[in-house]
Formats: sequence, C-alpha cells, structure tokens
Amino acid sequence: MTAATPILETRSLEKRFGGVVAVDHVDFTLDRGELRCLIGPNGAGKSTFFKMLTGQIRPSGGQILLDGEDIIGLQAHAIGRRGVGIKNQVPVVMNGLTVRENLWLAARIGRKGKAVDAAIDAMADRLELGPILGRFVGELAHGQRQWVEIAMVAICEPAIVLLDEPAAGMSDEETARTADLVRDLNKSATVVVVEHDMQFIRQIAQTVTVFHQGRILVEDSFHNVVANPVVRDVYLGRQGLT
Amino acid sequence: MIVREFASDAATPPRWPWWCFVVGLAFVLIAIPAFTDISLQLDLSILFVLSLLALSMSFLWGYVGILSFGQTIFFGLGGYSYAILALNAGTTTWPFAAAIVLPMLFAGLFGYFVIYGRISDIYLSVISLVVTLIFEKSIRSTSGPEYVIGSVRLNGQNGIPGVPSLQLPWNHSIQLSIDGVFYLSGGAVLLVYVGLRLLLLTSFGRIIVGIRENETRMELLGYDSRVYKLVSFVLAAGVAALSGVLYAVWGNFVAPEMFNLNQAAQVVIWVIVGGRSTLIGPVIATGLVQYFSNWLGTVSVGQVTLVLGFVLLLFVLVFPRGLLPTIASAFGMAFSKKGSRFR
Repeated sequence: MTAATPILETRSLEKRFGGVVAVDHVDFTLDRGELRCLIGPNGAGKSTFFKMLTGQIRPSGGQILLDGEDIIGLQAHAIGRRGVGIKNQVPVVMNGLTVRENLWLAARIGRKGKAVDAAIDAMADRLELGPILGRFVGELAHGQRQWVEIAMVAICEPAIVLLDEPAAGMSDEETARTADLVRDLNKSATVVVVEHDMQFIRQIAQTVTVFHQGRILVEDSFHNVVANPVVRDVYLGRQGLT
Repeated sequence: MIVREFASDAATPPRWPWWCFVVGLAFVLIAIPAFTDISLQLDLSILFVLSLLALSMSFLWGYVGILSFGQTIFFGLGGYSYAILALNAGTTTWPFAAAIVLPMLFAGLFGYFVIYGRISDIYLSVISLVVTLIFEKSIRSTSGPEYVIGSVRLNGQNGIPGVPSLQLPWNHSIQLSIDGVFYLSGGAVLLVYVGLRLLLLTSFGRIIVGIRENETRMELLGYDSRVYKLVSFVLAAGVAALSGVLYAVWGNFVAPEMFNLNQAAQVVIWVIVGGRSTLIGPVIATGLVQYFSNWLGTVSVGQVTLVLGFVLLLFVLVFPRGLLPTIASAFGMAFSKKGSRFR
C-alpha cells in the first residue's frame, strides 16, 4: 500500500437478487480524505452498494479493496474493526437501551476504562446529546435517533464513514447541523454520503457520484453534475431540483 | 426507584434494596427447614430445581434474544449423564461436575452449527425442539437389554431408577438428606440468580443485551455476535444441566419425560408468565404455575393441560410483558409521578 493507494476501491462490483441486477459492475474509487456524495433515484443501488461495502450483503461478483486489500468474504464485524463505519438509511440502533448505553457499546471499541466514559461525554457535547443521554432511544424522535446512530459511528473514529441519508426526516436547522457535522467528520475520516436533499449536498459536496440503474452514470463536481443534462433527465428533473 | 432494582438490563449496579432482597431470601432459605415438614421441603426443592431451568431460559431468551424451545435437551442430558456416571462410578462428586460439563460441550457443538451457521432465531427454536424430541424418542427406544452404558441399563421409557443421592465430597459415606437437597437446590437458585444478575452488569452482559436489541448494529460496530451468543448458549445449557442433575438427585430417578414436549413447553410458559424481561419473574412464575397445576390436579378438574393452556392465552393477551413487569409497572405508576419504566 502506498500513499496513492485509494482507501476504498471497487472493481466490477455486482449484486443480483434473482434476475434483478441491483448493482451492475461498479468501478468506484475513493481517495483518502475525500468527502463524496452519492445521489440517484430510488432503486439505483446506492444502499445495496453501501451494504456490500460493510459486509451486510455478500456481492455476487467483483472486488472491494480496502487499503488495497480485498475484503469480500469478511464478516460485517471484521470490516467494522477495520475502520468502516456506517449509518444505515433506517436507524439501526438499540431502541430498548438508553442513549448512553448505545454510545457505551460503540465507545468501548478500541478503548478501556475511563477513556470510554470520556469519549461518550465528548461526543454528547459535540452533538448536544447531553440532555437525552439517560433516555431510551426508542422514545426519541426520528431525527434524534439518527443523531444517536451518527454519534455511535463517529465515536468509533472510523477511517471511512458511510452515511446513508443522514438528513432524512430532519428539520432545516438539524440538516444544517448535520452538514456541519459531516464536514467535521471529514477532518479525520474519509466520508461518503448518500442523500436526496440537494440543498444538503450543495453544502458539503466535493465530488458527486450519480448512480442510475445499478451503474455509475456520472462522477464530477457538484456544479457540473447539476448542470449535466443526462443527470437532470434521470434524476434532478424528476425531483424538480436544479 | 425500588422496582428498577430488578431491571437486569439497566446496566447499573444493584443498590441496597436488591441486596436486602437477596440477603432476605438467603435467611428465609436457611430458616425454612426448621419450621416446615419434610413434605413441604420436598415440594419446595423441586420448585427450586425447575426454577433453575426457568432461569436458564429467561437468561437466554430475555437477555440474549435466543428462544431455545428445547432447553430441556440440556436438562435431560444433565440428569441422564449424572445417573449413568454416578451409578457406574459408585461415587457422585465428579459425576456431578461431569454431568454439567457434558451437556455444555454438547451445547457448544450444537450451538456452533446453528449460531455460526447464521440459522435465524425462529429456526433455532424449532431445531432445538426437534433435537429434544429426538433425544426423547431415542431414549424411549432403549428398552432392550442391549442398551447398556457401563453397567447401567437405559430402560427405555421406564427410565433409570435408583440414581444415587449426592455424597458429601469430603466424606463419601454421608449422603445428602432431604434438607440437604433443599439447601443445595435453593442455594443453587440463589447463586445462579445473583450470578446472572451480576453477569449482566459486566461488559459481556451489556454486549449480549446490545445484541438482543440490535444484532446488525453490534456487528457493524465490530462485535462478533456469534461468539457472544455461543458463550451465552453454553452458559445457559450449564444452568439447565445443573437443573437436570439436581432433578435426578431430588427424585433418585431419570426418565425420557425430562426431554419431552410437555416439559419443553412448560419452561416457555414459566418464562412467559413471569416476564422474560426479568430474571426473578420466571422463578416466581415457576412456583405459581406448578402450584396451580397441582391444585388443578387435586380438585379433579380433569383437563389440567387445557386449563393451563387457557391461562397462558390469558396471560399473553392481558399481560404480554409477563406478571412481574406488569405488577412492577403498576407500582411504578402508583408511586412515581413520571411513572416507571420497568424493564
């Protein structure tokens, strides 16, 4: 591995569900320190792509190289331990436990003793979760549960952070805070964000990759992607977003 | 809040009310033989023995999220292992330990295939039930004289009589009396209850509760949930095996009924009635359900199983969280302005 080695690369990555091709021979390269946004219509394969990267779904073919090493076949926990953290589209949290207990389970990965509690308190301050630390996650509003999940991912200090629709269901103020958080996370980690909210993407995007029908349609800067007539036709035009 | 003291996944160390409860129970346990007759001691001893089986299930189902419908596999294996080893060896100390370890080894093998094979929880329930029924049928078909292990005939559906009572490890000529069995089974329930309660406060305990809540998230964080589930499964099997060994010691008898559907279903009923979100609930429910069954038998209702089934239906519909959590919630509502979340 050299400094030029992409932190994450997929080669001809494919996922078929019976006769349906969800992800179709995707070649994707992510450089260290990038903040990449993935956009595309529903069913374009973005979430399936994320789930393959984190070992939640086994690919039908192709390669996933993490720091140059093929991780296909590794279990989700092994990929997690290698520094890939994900916030799924639907919050994947422990609803029956308190916010503090959720954060504790995440914070003790790679930490011991007082460092665990210190990390929880620091993350609670950073995301303003202090007042709800003692509440059960299942009792929280959707937006708060998303924040808890993001906090759980961030507290593990992963090398790659995958965020699947982090601003979904959030108010304008929460969305702006989430954008700040994503930029903050990007200071120490490579970040990939799947999102439909183009205003949110405008706030954070460096490079945008457009998925369509399981393939990468375009990969370019935000302004070029927005101006691209093909992208406008298959995605942005339908959303009424420009 | 006192009721929260029994909330085993609260991840907070128990405070004085819980310790008072435990010490109080220990004193009551010590005092009972002095104030009761032998018949009551025998009745309470079998309740303690069965409570261990309920604890095994409530730990595994309530805190790890695995419903092992056939937890009687390990109950029966424990009893049979003790009977066969003790009758062959002529001593009881090492057979007692071996009869707990052997079912745990079997649980390790069984658990490895179902848990590492990522068999879904519902299939695990069905498979464990099928395995316990296979054991039952297999043992029932060992009536012939050719089915002998060492010098012990398995006797098919007649079971193995004359299982030795426990000898004192330091003096083999003294066997445990009825009050000795009472203390042993009661002490075992108390120790296992306290042990599991404290285990749930450790990192291991908090992680298994996390797995119960959301296995996917725990995997994504980097926890290999299979290891934690397998260790928990083996541990619960050890508790069920201890129950089986004490059952054999209590009755001096083992039979294929230890593995059967009726026995397997009863364990589930105890846990449902007591409330699987607590450890102590199913212990209390074991006593209540067994007492109720015996009472139904004495008043000549006839269809005891039918009535029990009706009661279970009632519980599932009216008290879906189980008896103890419901009562505790009611207390919480009554004594707290904010109400209580008893878990």
